[in-house]
Amino acid sequence: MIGPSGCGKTTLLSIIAGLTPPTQGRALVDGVEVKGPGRERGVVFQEDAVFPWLTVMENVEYGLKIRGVPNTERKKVAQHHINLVGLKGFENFYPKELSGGMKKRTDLARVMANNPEILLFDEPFGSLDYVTKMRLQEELLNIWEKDKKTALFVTHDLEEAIYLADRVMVMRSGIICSSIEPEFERPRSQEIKTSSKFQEIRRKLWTSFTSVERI
Amino acid sequence: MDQFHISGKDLKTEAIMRFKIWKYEIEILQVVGIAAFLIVWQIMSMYLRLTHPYGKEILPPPLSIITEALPGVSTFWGGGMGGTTGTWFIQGTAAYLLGLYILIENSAITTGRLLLGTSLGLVIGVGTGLAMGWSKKVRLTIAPVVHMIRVIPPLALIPLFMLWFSQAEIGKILFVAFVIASMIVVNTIEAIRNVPPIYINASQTLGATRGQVYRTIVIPAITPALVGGIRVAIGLAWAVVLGAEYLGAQSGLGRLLIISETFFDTGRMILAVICFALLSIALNYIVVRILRKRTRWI
Repeated sequence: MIGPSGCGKTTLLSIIAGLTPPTQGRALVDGVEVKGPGRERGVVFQEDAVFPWLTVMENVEYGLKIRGVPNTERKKVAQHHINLVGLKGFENFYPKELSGGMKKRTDLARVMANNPEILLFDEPFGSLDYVTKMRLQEELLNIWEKDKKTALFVTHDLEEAIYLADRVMVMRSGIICSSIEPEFERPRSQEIKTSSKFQEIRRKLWTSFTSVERI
Repeated sequence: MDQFHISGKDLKTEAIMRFKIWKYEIEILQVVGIAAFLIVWQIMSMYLRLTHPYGKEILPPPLSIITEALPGVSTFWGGGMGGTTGTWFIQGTAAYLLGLYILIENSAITTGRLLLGTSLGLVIGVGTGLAMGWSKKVRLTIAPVVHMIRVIPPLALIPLFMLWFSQAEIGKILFVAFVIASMIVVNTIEAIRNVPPIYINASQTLGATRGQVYRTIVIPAITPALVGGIRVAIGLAWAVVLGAEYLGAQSGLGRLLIISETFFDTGRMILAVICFALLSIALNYIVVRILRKRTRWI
């Protein structure tokens, strides 16, 4: 989901996550009304949400620990996800000792290890530098490929949206005004960003991004 | 919070690197500073002695703190701190040892009151703060009382506590606890209010219940702010315990100070003040070391 800042992307995501109550209407996930946050809807935030008082390992096993998963199993699951995001060897580091990209990886591993049913991303790579951002996009796709969970990814970066998504929705003033399905083969590489098809989609999106009329 | 992580040694290494100073320059300057202080003290003491009839009593020379005040403290033995005094006169080494023993004993008494009172105050203060953070009803009920209490100058309540508890030990401990609690409860509420909402949102979306959010997010997140508060509280506790001993105690460094004043013995007063300073430095050092372990992640 893309759209200019202030259009309501984050608010919608926050309503789905159950962190913001809707002012009117209801939010349904799989037909069930959202009545507050829950572990079946995992969120990766834009802000740095890694708990600074816990190590990387403790952060990743947090969700498992609070619902009472036994220590050995919890450690195994957490270690698997730490390895997936490329943080092997940093298990006992505190967040203050990590770079911005590594903290984001920790956050990603923490949400994945908790095994939610759907994934919500709120501009998670917005504050990262260009190279780190590209790398994390690739890694996110790699991890996602394994079980292909439903994911709603909010961003204002058109390229990021086209590269990651099956369907790109454009939101303006709180309304989804158009959507495009990029239909690139998976697994995708960064190469597709230079293809003419990619540029074509990008141009279309840009038009709906900036045009005043709603479709 | 950085000061918890920079030990004296790190500061020194940094200073040597940044200002390109000579390796022992810091030590030399420190010694020069202390020596200058002692010399000024000595000169002032000599000057007062020559110009004022009670010069020696107003400011005894530095060395006399050891040679006269320390053995002199031995006269406080055996009820000397209470109503009667001057019944014990010991000479020589025994007087030094007895003086030292009395200083240590009263330091221990004062420190004991301080530690008991502070611990009790911290438990009550943090507990009340956490309860107020947890429940809006509790918060709204207790808040007016807390705000009323926190504006009272602590020492204003000493006569009241004396009236209630007279010379009883529990009175002094409760007084320290009261002052510390009323300070730390505000500190705790403030810290809870400042917990970044992102951590609470993150833990909730990971499946944490309200109780789990409180236990696993709020409490660790407020620790650094509480550590700062606890250090300030302990500094305040010294002043409070001293105040309590001034007015209603038969023992302790505060009593020693006040009884020396009634006998116009400045040397013994200075000796008591030195004891306070040493205890305060020692306790601060220990507390910082303990608290640093709790906040390794900062």
